[in-house]
Amino acid sequence: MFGLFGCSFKSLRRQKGIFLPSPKQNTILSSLFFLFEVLAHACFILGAWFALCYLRGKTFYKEFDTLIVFGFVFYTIAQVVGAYWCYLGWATPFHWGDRHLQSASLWCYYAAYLHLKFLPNGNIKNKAIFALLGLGLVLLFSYGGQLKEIHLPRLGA
Amino acid sequence: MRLLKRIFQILGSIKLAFYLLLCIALTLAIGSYYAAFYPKVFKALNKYLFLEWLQVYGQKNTDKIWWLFLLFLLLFGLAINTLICTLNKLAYFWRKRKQFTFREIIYKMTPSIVHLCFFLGLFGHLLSMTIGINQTLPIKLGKEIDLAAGVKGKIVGQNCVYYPLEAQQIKVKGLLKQCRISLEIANSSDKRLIQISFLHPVSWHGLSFYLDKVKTNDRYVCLNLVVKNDPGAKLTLISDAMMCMLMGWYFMVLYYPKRRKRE
Repeated sequence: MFGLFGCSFKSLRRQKGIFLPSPKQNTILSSLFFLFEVLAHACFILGAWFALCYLRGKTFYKEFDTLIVFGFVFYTIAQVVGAYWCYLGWATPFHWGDRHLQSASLWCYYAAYLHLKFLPNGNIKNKAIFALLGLGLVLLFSYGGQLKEIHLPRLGA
Repeated sequence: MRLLKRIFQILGSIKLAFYLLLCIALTLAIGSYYAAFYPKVFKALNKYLFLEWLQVYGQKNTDKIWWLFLLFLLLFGLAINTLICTLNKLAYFWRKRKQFTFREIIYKMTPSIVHLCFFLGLFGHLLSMTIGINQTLPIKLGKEIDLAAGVKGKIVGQNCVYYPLEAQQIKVKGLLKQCRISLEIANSSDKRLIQISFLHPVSWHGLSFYLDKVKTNDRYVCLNLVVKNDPGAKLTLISDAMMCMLMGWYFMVLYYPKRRKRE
């Protein structure tokens, strides 16, 4: 939390401005994509927080699994809407760029999470650890790129 | 025969799917950093078919594209795994169909159909990358251009709209908002005038015409005409949309009755 406050404070002091509109963003698909992507990130982050609470012995927080599963559903919707947007705007459903590759990576990671319950060691504790590790990927891929906005090295898309 | 059955079981196991998905996630993550550090090499992959790209860019950059081959190998493994696993499950439910009601059997088969959609989506991507037409040309008003599949084209009009200079948001002043290109296209049997703009492609005789832009900086852009015949794109988009809807429905039914019981 201190890190988050630190970064926020630094971004307020040294902000570089807004993202400029592009003619290819002028569609409802772009709004839907960002809406579902942000919803998915929120579910993944909250799921990871609940998983951490569960690992610390608070059994009430075992609902983290539901959050991650619905996060994955929202993320899939975002990817499909994004693919359609990309098809109309860039003539291809998948763009070979860092942003799309990282999204695909995140999708595969959480798809693996869904399959974990079918494995012999796919107990709730291992799922919690997996959800917690997923948080690192979400933060790195989705928000690591924003670090350049506050003059730190860019780590994500 | 027993060995063959064992190999079939391993290839279709969920454990293999789990490890393949993790390896693919890792490979994509590594690849994304290569794509970020060498954008010229990998962005060109959007403009060429894979084999063409390999000849033009791949041979010179073997040290940067190794992960792509690993990714394709893993995706091939995942596709085989998904297909075997899905067919096994569908065969199982077909044998047991009399034990369930129609609604139950549909619900139980949904994950298998989702996996089948995923497989079709992957197959669509393979088609998009390997066959079809992918041509990118700079737009010059009045110039005749030779397009793919014996089609000739001529840009006869260009109308671009910009954000007004008196816009309240100082940063958007003069930025490009939309562009409309009038393109005259003809083949040996047909001729037509089409209008394309950003996000509004036009299809004609199996070819799709898109307007693309190359950003030189925030204010200035170069316009490109993209001509495509992508046999895999529609398959990918339709199967992905099906996968998405079925998955959403499946998890809603799976999680919500449980909550009602608890309440």
